[in-house]
Amino acid sequence: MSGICRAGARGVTWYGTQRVPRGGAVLVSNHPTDHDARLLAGAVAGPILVIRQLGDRVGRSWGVRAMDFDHPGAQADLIVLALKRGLKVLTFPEQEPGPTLRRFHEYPAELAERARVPLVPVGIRGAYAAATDPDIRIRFGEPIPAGTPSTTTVAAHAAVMDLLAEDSTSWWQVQQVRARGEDPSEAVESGANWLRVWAQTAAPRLGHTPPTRRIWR
Amino acid sequence: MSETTPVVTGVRGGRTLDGRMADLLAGKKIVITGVTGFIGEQLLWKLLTSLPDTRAGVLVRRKGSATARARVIQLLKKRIFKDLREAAGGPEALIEQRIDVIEGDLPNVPDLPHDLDVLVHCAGDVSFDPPIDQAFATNVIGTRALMTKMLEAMTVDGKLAKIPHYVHVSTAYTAGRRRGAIPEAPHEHEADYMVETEAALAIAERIRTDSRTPERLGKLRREAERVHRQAGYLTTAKDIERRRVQWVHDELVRAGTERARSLGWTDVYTFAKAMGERIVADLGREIKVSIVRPAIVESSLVHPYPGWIEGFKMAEPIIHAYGKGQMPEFPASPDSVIDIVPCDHVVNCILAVCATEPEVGTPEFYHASSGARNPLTFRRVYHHIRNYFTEHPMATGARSTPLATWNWPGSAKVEQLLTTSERASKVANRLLDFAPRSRRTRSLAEQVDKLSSRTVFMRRYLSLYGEYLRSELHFMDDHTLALHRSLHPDDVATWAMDTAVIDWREYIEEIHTPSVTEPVRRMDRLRRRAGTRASTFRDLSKVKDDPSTVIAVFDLDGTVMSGNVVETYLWARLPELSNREKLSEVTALLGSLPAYLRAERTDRGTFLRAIYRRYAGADLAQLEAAIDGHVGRRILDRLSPDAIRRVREHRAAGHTTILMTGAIRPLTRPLAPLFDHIVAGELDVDADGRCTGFLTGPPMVGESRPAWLKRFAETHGIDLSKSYAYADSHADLPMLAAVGNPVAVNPDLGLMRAANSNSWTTVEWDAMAQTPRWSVQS
Amino acid sequence: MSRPGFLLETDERTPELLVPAGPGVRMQRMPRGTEVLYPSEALDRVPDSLEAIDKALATPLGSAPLRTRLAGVRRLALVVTDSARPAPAMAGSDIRATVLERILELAATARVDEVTVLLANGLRRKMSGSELQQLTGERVHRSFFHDGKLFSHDATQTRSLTTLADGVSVNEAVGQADLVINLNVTGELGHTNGRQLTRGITGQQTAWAQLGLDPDPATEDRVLAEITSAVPVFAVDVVLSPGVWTGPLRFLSKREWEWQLQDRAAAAAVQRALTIAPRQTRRRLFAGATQDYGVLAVHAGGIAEVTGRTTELLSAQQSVEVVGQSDVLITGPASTTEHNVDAVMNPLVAAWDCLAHSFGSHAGTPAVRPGGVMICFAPLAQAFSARFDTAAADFFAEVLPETTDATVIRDRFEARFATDEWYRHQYATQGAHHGLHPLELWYAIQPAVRHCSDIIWVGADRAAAARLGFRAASTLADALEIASAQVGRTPRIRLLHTPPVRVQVTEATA
Repeated sequence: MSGICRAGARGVTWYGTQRVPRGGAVLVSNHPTDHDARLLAGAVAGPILVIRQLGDRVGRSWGVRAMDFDHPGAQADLIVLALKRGLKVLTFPEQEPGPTLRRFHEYPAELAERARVPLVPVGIRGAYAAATDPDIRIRFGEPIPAGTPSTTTVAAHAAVMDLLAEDSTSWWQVQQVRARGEDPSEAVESGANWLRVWAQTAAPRLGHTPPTRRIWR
Repeated sequence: MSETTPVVTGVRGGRTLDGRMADLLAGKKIVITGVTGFIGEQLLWKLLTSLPDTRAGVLVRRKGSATARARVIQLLKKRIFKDLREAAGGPEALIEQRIDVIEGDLPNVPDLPHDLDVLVHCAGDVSFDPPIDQAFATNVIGTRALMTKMLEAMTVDGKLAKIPHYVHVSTAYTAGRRRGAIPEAPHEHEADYMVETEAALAIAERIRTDSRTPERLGKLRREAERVHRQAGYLTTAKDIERRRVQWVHDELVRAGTERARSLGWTDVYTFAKAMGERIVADLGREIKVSIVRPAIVESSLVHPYPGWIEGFKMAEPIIHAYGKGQMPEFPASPDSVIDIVPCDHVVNCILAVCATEPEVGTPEFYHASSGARNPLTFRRVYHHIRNYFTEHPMATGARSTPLATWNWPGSAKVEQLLTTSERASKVANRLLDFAPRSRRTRSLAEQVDKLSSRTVFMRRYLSLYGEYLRSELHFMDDHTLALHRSLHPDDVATWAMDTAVIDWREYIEEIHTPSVTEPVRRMDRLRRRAGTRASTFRDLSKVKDDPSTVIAVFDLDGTVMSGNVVETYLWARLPELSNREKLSEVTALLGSLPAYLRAERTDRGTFLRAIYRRYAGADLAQLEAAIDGHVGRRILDRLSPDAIRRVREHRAAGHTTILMTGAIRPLTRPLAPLFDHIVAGELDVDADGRCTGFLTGPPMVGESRPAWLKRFAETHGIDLSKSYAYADSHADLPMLAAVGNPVAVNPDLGLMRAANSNSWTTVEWDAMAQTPRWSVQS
Repeated sequence: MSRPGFLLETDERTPELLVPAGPGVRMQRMPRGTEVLYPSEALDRVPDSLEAIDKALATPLGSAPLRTRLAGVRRLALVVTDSARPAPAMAGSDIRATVLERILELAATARVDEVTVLLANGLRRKMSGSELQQLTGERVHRSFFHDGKLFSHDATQTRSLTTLADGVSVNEAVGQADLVINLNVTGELGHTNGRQLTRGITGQQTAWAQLGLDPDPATEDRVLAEITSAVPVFAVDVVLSPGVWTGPLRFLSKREWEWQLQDRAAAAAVQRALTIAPRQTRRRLFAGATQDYGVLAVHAGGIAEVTGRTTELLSAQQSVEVVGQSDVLITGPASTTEHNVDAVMNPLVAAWDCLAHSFGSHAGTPAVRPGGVMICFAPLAQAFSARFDTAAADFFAEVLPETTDATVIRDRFEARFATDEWYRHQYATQGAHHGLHPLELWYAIQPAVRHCSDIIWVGADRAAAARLGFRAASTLADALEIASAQVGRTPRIRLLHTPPVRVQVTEATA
């Protein structure tokens, strides 16, 4: 099963890690919960630097570097240098956790353009559930080559949306939807639904698979 | 020829002949008992051949459905009677012309013919160690009945009309534990035969009653259960009864041996025979009585042909064992005399005695022995037998075993050897009980069994004949010599009975040993040519039975598939659990495993029920779907291709194939296309289709299998004696015993021993498993 | 920079060499003057396989770009090589997943409605669900498997076969498609794009007409012509470099004199483990082992053009030139072959790998002279996977003791293996090889059997070797002793070092 999906911590599966490039890259991920950084630990080889928006609670307990995406400051140069050297950087462009997929800040794309490294879209699904029997799926998409931040941010947002839709429906369906010129966002749970879902304990199901009925309850 | 003991002339007692044998006995009628035995058969032959004017009467009992007459006809069909048969025109004609067949038994002797002149009582025990009551019944009560009937036949109006001659064939070893020269005279002792007889019968009754006490039966039951518990209650019960009967027999033999020894005899056989001599002397006060005491009777020297013998006597088991290299030592004293006398000398002596006229009321004694004037020591016998086997080994080439060299260390040393060997076997068997089931374990077990059976044989032999190997008895045979010397010169060739003429080298190396080893060699040749004994694993293309009456039954675990119910349960269960739950499930199972294994050793049904409780809450339809998927693949990985092939062979032959297992039915789904019927455990489900953890009926193990098979056979017209069964463990013994062609597949030790003793074939079906046994990868 | 294949002539100083002997490590000292054929190291891989794929699909050979070809296609059939190649499996993610995703992206853009992904296993076993996921990737698998649009081919299921012509029937997914894209993963000459169609997705009769005893070579061409005339075919060849061992078995891919200390230690350790616990060691080390493969090229377009380009490339990769034929040829089976993926190697497969695969890897002239001797190293353990090799086990136990003559087997036994219901059931539902599979292997070794005067197996189970009709010897010296009856005491010996190399025999000059 290696290369197709790998097992992470309990209940976490990573898909498509082979698409993550070897050298430096900026990973942009959706941000459902406060624990998202932990979920990605170990997914890719090599050291990974996590950057959070000031005010975002993710990873605070580990001392994850916080910065204001609007006013990055001098830290940015160090990060760019690290990226050029081959480090990977994980960011949450939505800037704070939430159940829906919101607008992406352009700052991660800027970092990528300055360092001339690709953006890697990451979709996390299933984390927004109670922890009794977690089934969290993290998908890595095709890297988006460096380019103007606005274009690449839009592309990254679409890619992350595609990854979430791929999880809730299927990859082929997403391809077909895109070919028709539509947005697969309908496939992603709408905001109103999510708030209701948040109260439930059942994890969102993996799309396009037959209901697995267990032998024992 | 002995130099030390001179021939005594003018001996006291003994009669002589005064004429030719045929003349002396012409017109007389000799009634013989025991013609179906070794000496009796030759006696009859000699009479018919060399005494043409003498009539014979034979007292023979029925055996099963064969009448006495039928048995005599069977006897006359033997090789030595060929010329007589042809001359007469067939066995029936021979009987018409010369033999009066009297059907009867000892002690229920029928009326004897009035015209008898001589009664030769040659019948005796079949074995050397009879139970005490049987020994007395035969030798005392039987003899008394015979003599009484004889007197009755001779009595007219309360008086003896004719004085018959009663010739009693006893044994020289009625001398018991005496030493030195034993004369041809009645033995002196104070045992009262009537008292002893009554006591013997009483103790037999007591022992029989004893065998039914709860203490005794309980002990026997525990022994039987230790071996057969897994096979089921009925098998155990059969074994308990067998053990009880065996115990009774052993106790009776022991009672006889101890009583005999307490009075100075070696064993109950010679003791009872000595009592017999006494009653003969008592009852024969008014008639003519002669008693012939042969020593150890072995094959004939000259008549009917050199080396003639029926069955194997005392020396033969040792000769065979030595020839096969299985007798490393012997507990006899090398210079003890082994008193062997050829059978024809004994027969000649008996018939010559018939022709004598003893005084009424004075029994005459004759020893038919060789030790007086031509003694043969154990060392000489060993030397000649070794020479013979060196020239003519029993097995050649790869299978030849070297002949042992005996050093005569004495019986104590040999006893020690035996004890050590017995102890070693016991330890080895205990260890093998825990060894894993494999071909190597089985072959080791077979070697240990062979060694222990040899030890058991030696023990038994020594307990039977031990005394004779150390005897210092010296039988005088002056009366017999005088009898021989009184033969007419023309009769000497036919009626010789002087054992001094025997050349022991010639007798042992050229006459006796070749004769007794020939049947064994013949059997070995046949066996080698035909392969081993007939196989129950038959070539189905050669079977001609009607296929609609034949079934082939297969066990599952260990036979068709290498696996077990615990593993298959885990294959279904573990994939659904999280890692932590997996660990706790496996730990729980491992914790209960010793209890389960203990349960399995005692009662497989309990073990199975315990495992199936864990299926509570399982959705049966989903379980079946899983078995059609990943669990089924595991099951298929564990199948044995040899087993599948055999199942298909049966199918191709048109037989009905049946799979019988205690496993639950869903687990047999991958095998469904191969079997016409599958008998498996049925899980009980509730209204939602979920298992309750119980079965709908008892699991099909042990003795429930043959019960099911019998019912199936009745309703479907199956002939179980032509059917086939394949199983691997001792618990499956009842199932295998129910059919005519059982095969043990990769058997455990219990089944291997049962298969060997029943001559069932054992096969090895490898399951070349991709995954090892007991792998529980998820 | 890759190094070409070459011939090493041994002398007294040559150390023990690695001899192929199935899954295992066997070191053997070769007699003086043995010619050891080393394959070339891999040619340069493409720097970016994604780029190569995109380029090939955009600018195919002898065909319009795939994007254009897909326009207006309603039903698309994707034929993909099954798990048999490469063997051992690829480490990491399989290249098929990447190529399929690229093709399907184009198909989605072209608004193709119905897509079927068909694995071309032919008479080989079907794949399990997890194997399918391994080959096609999670995206493709989840998108199509549960709809029944991703499956293995069943050559016996007559109602799912379409007859194109007399004696030519194909899987209906192919027969009814508007476009067939044939994705062929290949690393050796002989596994051509066309052959995947004619043998991998056709009905039993059609496939067997090409695999039976002494088949008519024109049959394959005829079948391919029928298929291509019935449905348009877009061929894609992914050419792989020879696999390189990773992990503890790394040393097996290096040339012996380049072994470092850790390689020597690893070799010794593996050898020791194999003597103590052969079966467990093999299972632990070799079962499920993967190799690292690189993509040499991606060719797409018309079948003929693609095949031509691929052949050219592979010839350059694989061929080693030698002068003249030898008297004795020494070889052994690879650790995993295409016929025992994820299964124990049974004697038939071992014989096939040596006598059909290795022997047959030549450019027209075999590496050993007619009447020469082949010496093969293999244990020939009588182990058959109960799940996959049920027909092979029966063939070995029932047919071979009766006769090893291929003609007799064909006349007496072939029909039984072709129609037996249990074999068919196992092939169709339980993932076993087809009943005719052992016969295919047996017929394939006949050219070697006819060509050589003696075939000797070193270190093999004597009973198994005898059953196959060959001889066994315990050591190489004994084998050469036996061979001396045919080839004399000083024969010319050639050793085919792993991995298999294609021998190009040129005539001796002067």
